[in-house]
Amino acid sequence: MSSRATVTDAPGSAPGRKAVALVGPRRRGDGIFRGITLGAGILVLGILVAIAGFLIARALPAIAADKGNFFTTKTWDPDGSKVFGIAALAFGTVISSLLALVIAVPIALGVAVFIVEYAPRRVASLLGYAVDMLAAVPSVVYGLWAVYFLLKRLIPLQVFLADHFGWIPLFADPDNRAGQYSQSVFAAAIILAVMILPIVAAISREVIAQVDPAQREGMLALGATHWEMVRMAVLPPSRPGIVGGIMLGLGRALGETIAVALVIGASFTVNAHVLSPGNSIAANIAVKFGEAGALGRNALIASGLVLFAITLAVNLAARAIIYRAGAVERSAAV
Amino acid sequence: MFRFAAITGHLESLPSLFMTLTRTGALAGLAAASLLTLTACGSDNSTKASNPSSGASTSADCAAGALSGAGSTFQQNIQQEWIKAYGSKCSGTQINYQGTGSGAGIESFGNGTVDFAGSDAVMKPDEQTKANGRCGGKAIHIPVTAGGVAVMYNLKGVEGLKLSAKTLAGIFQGTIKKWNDPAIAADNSGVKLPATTITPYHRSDGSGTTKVFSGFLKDNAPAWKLGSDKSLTWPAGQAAKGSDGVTAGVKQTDGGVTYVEVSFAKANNLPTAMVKGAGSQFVAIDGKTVAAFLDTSFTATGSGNDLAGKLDFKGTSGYPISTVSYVIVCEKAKDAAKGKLLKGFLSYAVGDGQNAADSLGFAALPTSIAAKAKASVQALS
Repeated sequence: MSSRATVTDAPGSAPGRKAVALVGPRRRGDGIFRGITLGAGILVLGILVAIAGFLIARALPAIAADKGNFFTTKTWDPDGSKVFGIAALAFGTVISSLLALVIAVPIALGVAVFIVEYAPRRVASLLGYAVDMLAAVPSVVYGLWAVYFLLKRLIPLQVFLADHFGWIPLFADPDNRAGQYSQSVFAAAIILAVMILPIVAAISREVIAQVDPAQREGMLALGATHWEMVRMAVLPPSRPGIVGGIMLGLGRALGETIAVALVIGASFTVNAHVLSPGNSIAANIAVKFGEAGALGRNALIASGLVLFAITLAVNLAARAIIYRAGAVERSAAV
Repeated sequence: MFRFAAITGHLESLPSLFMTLTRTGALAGLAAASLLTLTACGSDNSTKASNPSSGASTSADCAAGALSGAGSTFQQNIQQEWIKAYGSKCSGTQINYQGTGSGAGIESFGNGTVDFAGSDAVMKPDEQTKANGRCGGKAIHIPVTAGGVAVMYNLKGVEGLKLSAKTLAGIFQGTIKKWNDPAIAADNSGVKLPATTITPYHRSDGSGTTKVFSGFLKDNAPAWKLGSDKSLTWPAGQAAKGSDGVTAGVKQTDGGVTYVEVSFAKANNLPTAMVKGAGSQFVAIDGKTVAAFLDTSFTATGSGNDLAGKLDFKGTSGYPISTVSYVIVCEKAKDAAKGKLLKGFLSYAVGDGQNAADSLGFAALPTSIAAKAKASVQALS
C-alpha cells in the first residue's frame, strides 16, 4: 500500500480517486509502450520467418541437385561430383555439443552452488565476475588459444584416455591419432565446454539464489547437513531453471562456428571415436563458404537449414522439459 | 594469420546469422567479428613497406575516386601493398580489397557489388555469363601476380629434403607412412632419414592452394587418386583451417608436412622441400624458379584481351607447383570515372607493383605474361 502511494502525485486524495489517478494519465504511455513491445515481438518473429524462408528457398534447389542422399551421405563435394550430405556433419555437431555438456554441466553446477551456498561473499562476487568474463571472450580467441596452446598439451590426456579407456568405443583410437598433435572432436568439446560453462553457471547461480530462504532454514532446522540442505531443498526447485540454462548452453554449442572450425579437423566420418577428427555443420559452413561455387553455397545453406532445425528441436525439447519439471514441482507443492 | 583472419572475418557474418538464433551466441559473434576486423587491419604490419620506386612514376596514371575489390585471399597481401603504394602516388584514391575467397569474389563481381574480383582460377562458364551480364559486355581475366606452393615440413635434423611427385602423392594419400620409407630414401640418396611417422596436413577449407597442389599431383603422379579441386576428400592426414592452421600443425608436429604459400614457411622458419615434377631435376622454390615455370607453362586461352589461361603442370623448367592469380574486370567499364581509376591502379599493379612481389612471398609475373597483362590493361576503358 505504501509503495502505491509513492507513485501517485496527488497525496491526501481519497483511496477511490487514487486508483483512477494511477491509471488515467498513464494510459497513453501504456499504449505507446505496448505498441513498442508488440513491434519488438513481431520483428523477432519476422526475422525468424525471413531467415527460415531464405534458408528453405536456397536449400531446396541444392537438395534437389544432390546426386547423393542429402541425409545419409557422408561426403561433401557439391561443386565437383555433386554428391553431398549432412550425415557426418550433423553427427559431429551433436556429439561434440553433447560431450561439451557432459564436461561443462557438472563444473558449472559446482561453481554455481559454491558461489551461492559456500563461498564467502567477497570470493563469491569475485568468482561471479570471473565466470561472466569467460562469457565475454570472443570465440575466435578460444579457437586460437586451442590451436596454439591447448591442442599440444592435450596429447598426454588423449593418450591416457586411449590407453586406459580405449575399451569404451568413445575413447578407442584405431588410427593411432591420440598421440599426435591433432584436431579432434574431443578438443572441440573441451573448447565448447569452456564456452558454455559461463552461461550454464550464471543462470544456475541466479536460479539457485532465488530459492526461498525459508526452505533452507526449514531444512537446517530439521537437522540436515549443509550438503543435504543443498541436495534436498535447493537443487530440486531450481531444476527447471538449470535445465533452461543447460539448453541455452547446448544451443550455443550447436551453433558455435569459428572455435570449432579451428580445432575439430575436418573428417567426413561417422564414428564414436572422439579422439579422432570430426566435423560440424557450422564449422563446415565457415571453412567452405569462401571458395564454394553456386551449388556449393546453396548446399552449405541447406546444411544451415538442418542446423536451424536441430536448434529448434533442442529449444522445443527444453521447453517441454522445463514445463514438465515445472508441472511436477507444482503438483509436489500442492 | 592475416589471410586467414580476412577469410574468417568475412565468413563469420553468415554463421553468426544462425548464432543469433541462440540468444547468447549473438553477442559472441559480434565480438568475434569485430576482433577479426582488428586482426585484419593489423596485416599491414607484416607487409614490410617495400617502397614504391617513387621518383620515376612511370606507369601510375592517376585518377581520383573509389574502387572496391574482393576475392582471392592469396592476393590479399600484395593487393594491400599495391593499394598503399598507389594511394601514396595518387592522392584522392580510395581502393579497398577484401580477401573473401575467389568464389565469393566472383559472385560479388557478378552481382555488381564490387568493381573487380581477384581470383586464383578462371571463371566457370556460368560465372562468365553472369559476369558478362553485369558488365554489359565482356568480363576479362588479367594475371596480376604469381606464386608457388611450397612443400613445408618439420623433421628434426633433415634439411634440403627432396620429394618427387610420386612420393608426394604417396605421402598425402597416406600410403607412405614413415619418413624413412624407401620411396623417400630413393629421392634423397645419402641423407639419413629418421623413422618418424609422417603427419600430412591439408586444408579443411576450400582453397586455390589445394587446387594447384592437387593439379600438380594429378598431372605428374599416376598414383594420385583424389583429382584436383579446391577441396578434396582426403583419405588420410590431418585437416586444418587456413594456411596458418596447417602451418601451426606442422610447426607443432615432428614429422609434419604440408603444402602452403611460401611466405608462411619463411615467417615460421620451416624448411621447404625441393620438388621434382615432369623435369629431371629437383627444384627449390623461389621467385625466379616460379617465374621460369610460368614463362613456359602458362598459355593464355582467352580471346582478345582476356588472358584467362591454363597451366601445364608437366612443364619441365622451373618450380612446378606454381600458378598465376587473376583480377577479373569489365573490359569496358559502365562508369567511366571508375574505369579510369581501375586502369590506373592495374597498370601500376602489373608494372612497378611487381617489384613488391618477392618481399611478400609472391613471384613477379614472368616478362612474357607481364607484357600481355600490360597490353590488356592499356586496352581497358
